[in-house]
Formats: sequence, structure tokens, C-alpha cells
Amino acid sequence: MEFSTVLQSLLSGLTLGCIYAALGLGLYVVYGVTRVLNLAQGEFVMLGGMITVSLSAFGVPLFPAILLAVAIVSLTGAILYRFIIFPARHASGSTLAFLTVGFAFAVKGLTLLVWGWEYRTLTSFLGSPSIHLWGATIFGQAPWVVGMTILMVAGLYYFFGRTMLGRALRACADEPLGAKTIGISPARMGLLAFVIAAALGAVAGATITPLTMTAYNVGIPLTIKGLLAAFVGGMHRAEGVILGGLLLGLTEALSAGLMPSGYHDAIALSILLVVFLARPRGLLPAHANIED
Amino acid sequence: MLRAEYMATRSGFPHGSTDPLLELRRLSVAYGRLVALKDVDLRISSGELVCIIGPNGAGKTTLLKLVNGLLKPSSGEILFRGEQIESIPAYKVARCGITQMFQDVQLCPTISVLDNVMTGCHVWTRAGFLSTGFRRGHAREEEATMRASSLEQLNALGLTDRVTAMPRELSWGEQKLVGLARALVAQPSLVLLDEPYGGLMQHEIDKLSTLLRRLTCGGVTVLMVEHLTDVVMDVASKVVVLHYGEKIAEGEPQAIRNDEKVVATYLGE
Repeated sequence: MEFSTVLQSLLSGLTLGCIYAALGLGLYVVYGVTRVLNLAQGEFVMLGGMITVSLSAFGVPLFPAILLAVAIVSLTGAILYRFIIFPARHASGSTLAFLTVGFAFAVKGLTLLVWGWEYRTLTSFLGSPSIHLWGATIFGQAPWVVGMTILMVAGLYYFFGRTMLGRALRACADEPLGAKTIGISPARMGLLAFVIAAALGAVAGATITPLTMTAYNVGIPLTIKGLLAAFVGGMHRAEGVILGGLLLGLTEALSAGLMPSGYHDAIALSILLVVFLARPRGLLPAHANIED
Repeated sequence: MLRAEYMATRSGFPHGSTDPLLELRRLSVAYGRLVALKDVDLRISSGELVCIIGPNGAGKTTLLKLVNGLLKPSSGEILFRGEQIESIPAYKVARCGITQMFQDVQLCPTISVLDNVMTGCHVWTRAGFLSTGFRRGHAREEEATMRASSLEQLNALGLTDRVTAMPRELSWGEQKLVGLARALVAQPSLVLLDEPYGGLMQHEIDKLSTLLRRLTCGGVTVLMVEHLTDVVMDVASKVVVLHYGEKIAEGEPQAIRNDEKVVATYLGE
């Protein structure tokens, strides 16, 4: 295989990996705080992209359009928590996950009604041109995707590690009973987690749309990729989710470079299955508990 | 909101000395057919250190869970400063001025000792998501106050050199002290302690007893569940004995030690 092909696969894999990591981070935030597997995370991404495209089409400048999309999608996240998850909060984890699937289908149907079935796209942010490097091509939007993921990770580390609210969210995630007895409201923290996840999803959706395009039906496949990233890396740690996302993206891209395009999903999923079998709790399992 | 403002506005409850601070009236709770507590009456005044003793399954921990709102009673009332609190959720009970240290401490394992204690200040926080995220003036000021109070609390409990440690790096006794610091940092009126002496070494037991005496001298009220009878008789101002969910005795430690019914059912010879 030529060097330029390998380089191209690596660059594509890095970009794909960042997309999957961004998806997984949304799932991680919600799962970490509420222990709910939010299977509607991909819909937040899809909505973020669709709303940004529409606002841009109405002449709203790109970055204000993204901010508005983030606000609207965050509100959608709040609705999902307040009206669907919170009333059913005593139900089992699988029931709550199914409820989020129901919400995902509702969003998908409404999006089809409002926007139709056409795929939509945006131009690269600020018209960033493609870069040619040793025979490989870096699409103009790819550095934005990588930058967005880095910013997301940095933002989450800052928020969870350095702010009072972030510490309260972690306390609520790790020791929900203890958190209640020091005045932390699990309902408020759950709402906050869903809003943060929806906002992350919206930013990811707007950023990846110039690369991947968006349509009413992209949400569920995106959720599945995010889930794979989170499961492979380890759902309990942000580092695990990022590692899982990058591994998934690189595996997909390298297998696409080596095999006919129809096989690349199968190859990637087979390799990930092996990882699952070898380390069922993910590559980076949860931090040890105190009593361990 | 700073600590002083929080103390002045705590959940709209009346301030000043209210006697009794905590009152349980005919409190009962059942898990299905199993009656865990039956018609328990109890009055606790400010500054008292009340110990609940009794054999396993007597309903001691259940009683604490009822007071802190983690369980709802089947019948009866819980009054704190004269206001009914039995139907409000646990996080709001904490905002009334009641905090708890659990038997297994329940520290957050992924954040440092100082951060764990700072979470105990959560009841003061008024800064919203955006002001916290962007560290606007009042959010910064709020956090600085919480940090200072938490350091002060850790210092008072002799943990100054452990502030940056992670909980897993601490001994069991130190973890208990951190749990106590987290429960005390919000300056509660009533602290609930579930077997605080469990698993401690003798020198740690002595240290904790000194701390508890100092706390009650400072006006904090303590309601504690404990198995170590000698320690209970040493530190408690009042002892309550539960047996199969019923209160069989209540009084000063010496009176309880000599109570024939208590000796027969729990203390032994």
C-alpha cells in the first residue's frame, strides 16, 4: 500500500474518530450522571446540523446560527429529561433507554415533516480550503472537527474538574445517596446533564455537517457509532470514550483503505467485537471505588 | 450566595433557639409487612448528643433515613424547628440544616479530599450554569468562600496535609473524618452520624469523641447510631434504645446502663 493511501486513511480515521468521540461524550455525560443510556443522542446531532443549515439558509451568520441551534437543541434535551425521563425515573435502565428510543423516533418523524427527506449540507466553516499533504487530502472542515472535539474535551474537563456545579454533578454520579444528603438535587443535575449532552450534540452536528451532510434519518446510525465508541473505550470515563472513538474511526478508515468499501463496517465491527470480548468493561474501565 | 447569607435565609425556617430542635411524633415505617419502626416518639434539644443503640435490625439506620428524607414514614410526623419535614425530599432537608455522614462514608472517589468537602457547600451555591462555567465575579467569590470554609473545616479535623489526596489514598479513619468535614462544612444545626466509630483504631476513636464533644459545645446537635456501648456511654448526653422497631428506653447514659429491660434485651451483664 502506498504511503499516501495510509496517510489518507489515518487522517480520515482521525477525523471520523473525533466525530465518534464527540458523539460518545454526549452519551457519557448523561450516563455518568443519570445512568440512562440516551439513545436519542444522535438526534441532537442531527437537529444541530439541520437547524444550523436552515438558519444559514435564512441568512443568519454561521456562528450565531450555531449558537441558536445549540440553544434550541438544549431545550429539546431539557424536554426529553423533564417530560419523559424524570416522570419515569424509578423505572429500570432498559425502560428508560427504550423511552429515549421513542423520543428519537418522534424527533425523526417531526424532522421529516418539517425538513423533508433531502440531505443537506453546509460549506466548510469560513470557507476553509482543503489541504494537500504528501499526496493525501485534508478536507477544509476536518481541522474544525478535530478542534471541536479538543475544545469539547477541554471544556468538559474544566467544567467537571474546576467548577462547583461540575463537582456536584460528579458527586451525584458517583454517590447519589450521599449527594442528596448534602443538598444536591438529583433532578436538577439530571436536567443539567441532558442539557449539556444536547448542547454537545448540537455543536457536533453543526461541525460535522459540511463533511458528512445531514438528513432526518442520520440520528440513529450516529447514536450507534457513539455507543460503540463509549462501550469500547469504557462508558465511565471521558478518556475511555475518546480512546474508543479514535479507535473506531481509525479502524473504519484503515479497513476502508485495505478492503472493498462494502466491507469496512463489517471489518471495524469485527475488530471491536474482539476488543469487547477481551475487555468487556471497556479499554479504560471505571476508576476503582474507595473500598476496592 | 455566601455562607452568612445562606445561614440567614436557610429555607425560610424560623431562627433562634427553638426547643425541641427535632421532634419525632409516633413515627412508624414498614417495608411491606415488616414493621421497621413503630410509634417512636423522640425530642432532641439544641446542643444534645443523642445516641441510638439497639441490636441489628432494631430500626436505628431507618430512623436516620427518615429524618434526612431518604425514607418516608408510613405514619407520624417529623418536626425540625417546629416545621414538618417528613414529606420533603432529602436534598431539601439538607438545606434546612440537617446533614449526614453515612456508615460507609460515600465520598466521591474521583475527586480530591478538598473537592469532596467543597461539595458539602453545595447548599450555598446560587451561581447558575453559565456564571459558573464562565467564572463570573459572584461565582468566583462564592467558590473562594467555599474553598476557604472547606480548608478551615479540614484543618479543624487535622486533615490539613491531606487536602489534595484522593479518597482511596486515605485510611478508613481519615475517610470518616473527611465525611464528617463534608457534613459539617455547611454549618448544619443537626448532624446525623451512622456508626461513625465503626472500623476506627483506638486513637481515632478518642479523637472523634473529642471532636464530637467540641461540636456539641459549639451548639451543633448530633443524632448518632452506634454499636460501641462504652463510647456511647462516654460521649452521649442522652441514649435511646430501640428493639425491633420500638423504643424501649430513653435517658441519660447511666440510667440506661442500669435499666433492667435494656440490660436484658441488649447490653447484657
